[in-house]
Amino acid sequence: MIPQMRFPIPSPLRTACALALVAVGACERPAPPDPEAFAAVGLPGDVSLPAMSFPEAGGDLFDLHARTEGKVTLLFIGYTHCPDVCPVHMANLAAVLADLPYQTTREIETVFVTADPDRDTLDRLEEWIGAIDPDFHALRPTREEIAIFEDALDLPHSGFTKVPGEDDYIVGHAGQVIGFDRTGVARAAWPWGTRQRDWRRDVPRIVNGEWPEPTEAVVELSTATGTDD
Amino acid sequence: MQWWCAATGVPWTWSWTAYPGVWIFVAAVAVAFSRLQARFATEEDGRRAVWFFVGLVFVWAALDWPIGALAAGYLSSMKMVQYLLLSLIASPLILIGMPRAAYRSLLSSRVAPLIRLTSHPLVAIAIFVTIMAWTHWAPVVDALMVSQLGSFFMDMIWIAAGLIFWWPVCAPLPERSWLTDPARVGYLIAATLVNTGVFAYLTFTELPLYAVYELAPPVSGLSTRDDQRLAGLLMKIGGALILWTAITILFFRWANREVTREGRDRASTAGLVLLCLLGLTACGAGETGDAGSAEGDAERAVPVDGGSDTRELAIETAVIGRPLTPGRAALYLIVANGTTADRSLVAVEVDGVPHASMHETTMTAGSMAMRPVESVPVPASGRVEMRPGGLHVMLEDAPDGRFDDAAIDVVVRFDDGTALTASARIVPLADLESALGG
Repeated sequence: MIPQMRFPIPSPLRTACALALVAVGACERPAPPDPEAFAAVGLPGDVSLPAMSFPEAGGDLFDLHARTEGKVTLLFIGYTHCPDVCPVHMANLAAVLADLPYQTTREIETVFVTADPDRDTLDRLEEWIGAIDPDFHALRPTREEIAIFEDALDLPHSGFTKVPGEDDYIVGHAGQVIGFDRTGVARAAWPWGTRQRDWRRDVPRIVNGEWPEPTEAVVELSTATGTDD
Repeated sequence: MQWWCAATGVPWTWSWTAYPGVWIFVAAVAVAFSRLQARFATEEDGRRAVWFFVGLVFVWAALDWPIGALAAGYLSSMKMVQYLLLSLIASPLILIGMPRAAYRSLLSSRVAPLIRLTSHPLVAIAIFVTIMAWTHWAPVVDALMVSQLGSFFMDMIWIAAGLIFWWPVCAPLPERSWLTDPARVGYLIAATLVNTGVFAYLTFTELPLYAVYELAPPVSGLSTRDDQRLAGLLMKIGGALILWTAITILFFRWANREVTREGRDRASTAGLVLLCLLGLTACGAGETGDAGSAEGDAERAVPVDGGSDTRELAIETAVIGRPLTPGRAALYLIVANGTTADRSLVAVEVDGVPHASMHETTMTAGSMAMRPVESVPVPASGRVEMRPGGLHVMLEDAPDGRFDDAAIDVVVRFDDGTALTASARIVPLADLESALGG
């Protein structure tokens, strides 16, 4: 698993460049980002949402196929004790979806799957996801189901690491939001670090059927970034 | 261990964290100031030094845990609090608390031209606005805050910007200030407006601007957007509160002088209470010119040696008419005596002018005559005004070009040994009357 970079590496070179930027003004402005570029990594399209059902917080069994049929699905695997990546990733996505017109958001299902079912009870999941966006679905598979689910998506298995000296553990899990098209095929992965402006640009496009081209360097989800929270 | 606060991406906890770089910086500044005090400070400077240390405490609070840490990597609103503390609160207090002799020494050094340039109000506010805008620009913030060096640079440039901005207002050498009290009020009112662009940038931009805060581990229930809006509001409202407090102080101080000048009661207690509230009273504390200043060109004086009870003895105005021919000019003074004892002005010395003597022009039988005057009485609780056609100080044998500057330092000596310094403005002859408040 490739370690997740939470922030740009604080290298002396970067600082020096920033200081130079401040010193000399906008003469050395960084190149503006390509407005057409997706923030997501394009996937080859050989992975599909598996035919599985998991208990949903505040609901019954959530049949992944039936409930997402004909819609664009955004899926994230995380856990509610995650202090940073999970809530921030989800909150940024939720903030943008709240701004988009209903005609767009009704075409999207956002699914959060816990990788930590031992601590993430359905009640806790309901409270947690409700604070982010009540329209999001929070699912609680068993540990065994999670492993099968991750295998089906060609994702690395979530891992558990005990915190030294504490009665606590952290969970390593995939750090990207995976986008599935209306047929359930995984088409893109938005890595940790995706900003609201990126979602604002990308979400309407995927709803309209426009997906990023598969990236040669990253052809499988398992090579995408993960995170240990 | 981090030596300076920077964004780390580590989830926030309320566990205290040490930032030794901040301590070293604060301690180094305190030591440097103490050495300056030992070398330059007068008794009055010693009293005023408390403001320096109050300012330094604000600097420490802004840079250290928790404000510094939250500002560096978690909340843009806390970054704004840090900005307000460093640039708008700590900086003026630091300026006020510095020994005046140290500034005089600085102004005699090779950097004097640079200081004179940057202390011009227009230049100062331009530098301040530029730094303020630049350091709130998202690419700069995102680049700097992720490293300790970058974060340190940001903090230092904010302190520097604050010092530059406040110099024309809290000028440690009032006789060298560019601005009168009313003009200072105008300067600060202008300053309340210049942050509008950054305020709008923060408050009305729909999406989060700063990646460093957008992707930071959550600290409170504030969303990134609300945090950013709060930052904008803090800049506008918090900044306005600070600036308007200073404006109020300046206004009351100015009004106080006017009231005193007319021999009535001092300004309202409310104004003085306000002064105490933010510690900005010291904008004028220790300035011996507290007794008064003329509306248009106050040049408050500073005692340079000896003397007693100088608190209320002040040179309100010192003006020289730029001569049409070289070598000779006239200096006009307005001197106020707020003490209970009569004083006499016995001598005047003007920098670079070998001869300065007091004279009085009189009209006798339609004929104008000038006679030397040994001393000029300044009655208790009274004042003396020199004006064209009356009392003046004749300046003779000045070298060519001596009156080409904008101002010249003068020393005025009194019969009790008091000596006050002031900077006499050199104005065209046609402007003399207005410069003297006539």
